[in-house]
Amino acid sequence: MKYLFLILLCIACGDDKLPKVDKLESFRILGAVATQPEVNPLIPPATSTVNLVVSDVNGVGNVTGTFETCIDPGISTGAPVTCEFDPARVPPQAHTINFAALSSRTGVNPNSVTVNVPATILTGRSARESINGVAYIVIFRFIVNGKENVAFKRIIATTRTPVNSNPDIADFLINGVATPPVTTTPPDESDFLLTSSTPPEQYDIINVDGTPETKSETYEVAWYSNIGEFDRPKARLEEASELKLKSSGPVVFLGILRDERGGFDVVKVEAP
Amino acid sequence: MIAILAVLISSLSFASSIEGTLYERGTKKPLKDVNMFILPHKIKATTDAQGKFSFAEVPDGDCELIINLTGYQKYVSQRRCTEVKDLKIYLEKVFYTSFETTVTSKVIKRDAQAQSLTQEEFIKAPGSFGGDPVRAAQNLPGIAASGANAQIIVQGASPDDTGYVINGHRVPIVFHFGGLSSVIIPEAVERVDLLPSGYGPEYSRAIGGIIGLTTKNPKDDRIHGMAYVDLLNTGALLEGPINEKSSFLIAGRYSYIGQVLKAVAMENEDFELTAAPTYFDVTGIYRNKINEKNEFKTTLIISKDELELILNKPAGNDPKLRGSFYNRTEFFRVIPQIVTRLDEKRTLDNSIGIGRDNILVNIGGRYLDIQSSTISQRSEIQQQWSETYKTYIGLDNEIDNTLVQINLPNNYSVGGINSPFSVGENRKFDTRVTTAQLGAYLRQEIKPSADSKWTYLPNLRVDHFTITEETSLQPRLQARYQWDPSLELRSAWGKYSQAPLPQESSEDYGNKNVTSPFAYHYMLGYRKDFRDGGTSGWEFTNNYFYKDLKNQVVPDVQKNYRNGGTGQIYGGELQAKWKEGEYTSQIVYTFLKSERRIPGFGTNPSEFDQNHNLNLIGAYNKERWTFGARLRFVSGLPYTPVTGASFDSDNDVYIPISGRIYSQRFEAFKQLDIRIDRKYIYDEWILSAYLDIQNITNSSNTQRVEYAYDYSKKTKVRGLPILPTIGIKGEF
Repeated sequence: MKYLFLILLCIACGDDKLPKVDKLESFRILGAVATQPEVNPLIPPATSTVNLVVSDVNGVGNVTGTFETCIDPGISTGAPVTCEFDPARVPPQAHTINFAALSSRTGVNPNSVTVNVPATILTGRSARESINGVAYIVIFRFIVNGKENVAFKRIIATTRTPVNSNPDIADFLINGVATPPVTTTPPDESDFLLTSSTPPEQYDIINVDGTPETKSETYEVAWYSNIGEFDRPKARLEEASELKLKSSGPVVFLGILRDERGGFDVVKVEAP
Repeated sequence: MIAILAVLISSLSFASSIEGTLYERGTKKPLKDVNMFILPHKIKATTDAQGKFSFAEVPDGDCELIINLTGYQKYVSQRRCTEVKDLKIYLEKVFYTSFETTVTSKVIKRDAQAQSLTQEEFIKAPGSFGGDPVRAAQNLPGIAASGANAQIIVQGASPDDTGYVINGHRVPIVFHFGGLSSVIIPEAVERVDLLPSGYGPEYSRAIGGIIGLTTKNPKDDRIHGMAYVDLLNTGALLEGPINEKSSFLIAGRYSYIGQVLKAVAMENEDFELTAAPTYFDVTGIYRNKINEKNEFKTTLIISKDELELILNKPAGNDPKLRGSFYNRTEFFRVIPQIVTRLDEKRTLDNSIGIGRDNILVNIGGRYLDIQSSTISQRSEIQQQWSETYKTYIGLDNEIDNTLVQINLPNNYSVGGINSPFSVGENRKFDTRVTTAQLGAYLRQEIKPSADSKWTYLPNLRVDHFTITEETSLQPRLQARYQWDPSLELRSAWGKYSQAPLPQESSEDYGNKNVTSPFAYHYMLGYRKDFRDGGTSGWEFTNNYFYKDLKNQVVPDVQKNYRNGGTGQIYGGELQAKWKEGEYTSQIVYTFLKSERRIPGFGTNPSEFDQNHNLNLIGAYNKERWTFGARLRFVSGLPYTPVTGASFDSDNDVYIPISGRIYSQRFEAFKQLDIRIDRKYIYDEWILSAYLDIQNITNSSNTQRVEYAYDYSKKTKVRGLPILPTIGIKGEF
């Protein structure tokens, strides 16, 4: 009850002055898409290529930072996001976000990172860990305007078959109409919706008490805009999100689809 | 002869008898042994045990009936004296307590440092939200409230380290939704007790302290009733005799606070309240004086809180904190108790608590469902061996059979900064466990001689926890010195142990190898009464305490939980009570430091480190009016700053990075509460109206920090704004 009461307070007392999650302004990392969100380390090559999804609408020039890879130190149980604890980590290397190649300074960075998951990552692990997976992470760090931006992406090493694959966005709908990548500014209070060409996958896990369970993915959509505000900036796939325009000018919209276990797809629509 | 008969008839026709009953006005309590006079004839009558009186041979004609009884308004009735058989006279008291139909017994405290509030005290306490006993207990020294949910903090200890008991038996919660009201109607509570540092061996399993509620004995003179309604809830109570030996009390309360919240929620796009938060509780008491030696009493407590809402948007931008939220917390206890006076020197007290606790939290399909059947048992035999030696030997056992069904991400935070719900590794399992907490104790009160000023209490407690397979021997020593009748010095030292929390010792969620945390308490204090046996003047209580916390369970990234935490809490508390005529006031001040050491994180203030806690309480009674006020000033609670955040690309959330644990503080908590009571006394019932305004100055009192989605900015969330409650209560 205490927890719910705090949630109620959290909802009821939300401060409108805090930055909005769906507002594209300064430098942000919005996600990372991997060619293989899951790999089986016992079947080479256990490799995945990762590209950041970024935005820096109000910025200038490219941004250079670093990336490093290592075994997940236990982030889900409260460990800090760092590679310091893995002696076999791949040390930081330079990584540049090529904003010059991104219209509206928003989208998928063309520069990618190749992540090689060690073949031994599951050695000595329990059956539960092998099935549920052990994360190998890639951590990106960028310092922009004096502020450090840290983001990470997991590549799950698992013996589960089949491994997870990315969802695929079929259409970007504005008021029910499929919208091309370049369009005109939609009217105020337009409904935004993504459709997927791939159904949510089913996958197996082993619960903490050893019981097996087959679960189904839940698709989540995140919406972003530089001139408006969505009533549901984070929505389920089947839920439309209404945009309220707050200003005018060149527009960029971004819709990101996640399958809640690392699968990812993104669509950008612009109204110059 | 005819003449004599005429005289006799004549004399009879000019003398009447007046018979009737004398009651206390409003309560209908018969007044016994009261002298009544009829003037100018100077005829006197005295009421019997039922309040009945009889004047014989009162000459017909104008007369004056006079009653002059200390504590009551003078009664003068000019009337024509004629034959009356059932005259009812109602005598009005000078002062009426709040719930007049309740008799509060004298509080017998075993531990000198224990603090108690009787119903008469807590029911009119300003800031107690209509007389709630546990909220009123926050006026006691050493007690503080924890933010919005108003959990009780005893001398800087975690609320998890405080035990809550009703008639000696543990209950799972003490407050309804949001901490506004405790789980038992105030009018059914005889007193609330606080057992702080150095408490005796009768209780255990709480290294912070104990809050205990004792239900009252139902009235057995006649049927009494009470009903009230205010802005948050309504309730009623009925009590009275069943027959010569037994009596009953039944009371219930229902809150409609949820309807208010629902009205607010209708304008909120973020969530829909599908079932407004509601709570109710029922209290039943049956008492039977079986015979001269045996007395039976059973208490029934039923409590239920329920809330359901649908979050249209993820709370805190956490994608998994959305959808349907449902919470239900319900429990009941039946507590039969039989007290047997074996002889003049021995008393046996047996009681059991049978109950069930159900707690269900469902957050968008992720849930925690706890269903627990509980049986607790207490037995105690008191024996006065001699004028200088008394013992209390007792058992205090509890067995719980619990089914826990969990489908939740783990969430192990240090310093109160939690990772988002979406990030935690999901744990799903069902488990049924039977645990026993077995305890036995010996309390001894030893005086070196009958006239000695010293009393020694070499007490011992043994607890066994099956969950950790540990047996803990806990010596608890107390000593008192009665310097003079007005000054008592006291000291205490003891060991206190409690089982780890269920989530800490769970094989699937925590660490089955964690062991029981414990603490050593040290206490030194005195009580000085400056009233010279009267009721006016000052009364001081001053205690100093130190708690040495050992083997504390702390979160651990690898093992979920582990032992190794330590801590210390030390401070002093002062309570100065003053009473003079119609004025009463209290100054209650506590200074404390509460620190915890977690390996890897150093020594830091604890979450409940409130260094200064000042309560100024005053009341003024004038005829049927009572005015009360409470001013609270409490150091702001510490909190852990967030120094940055990392973006979790897979879960679309930011994971906060903690700064130094509890290294920052909110502004000091300041609150002024007032309460005004007005009584209307009618012959056979009393109507009371009250206005209770919490935070009348609308002080913002920061309760927590809210962060932007990426933790780049923050804002402070205020506590409860000005909150008035108006209520009326009728009682007979």
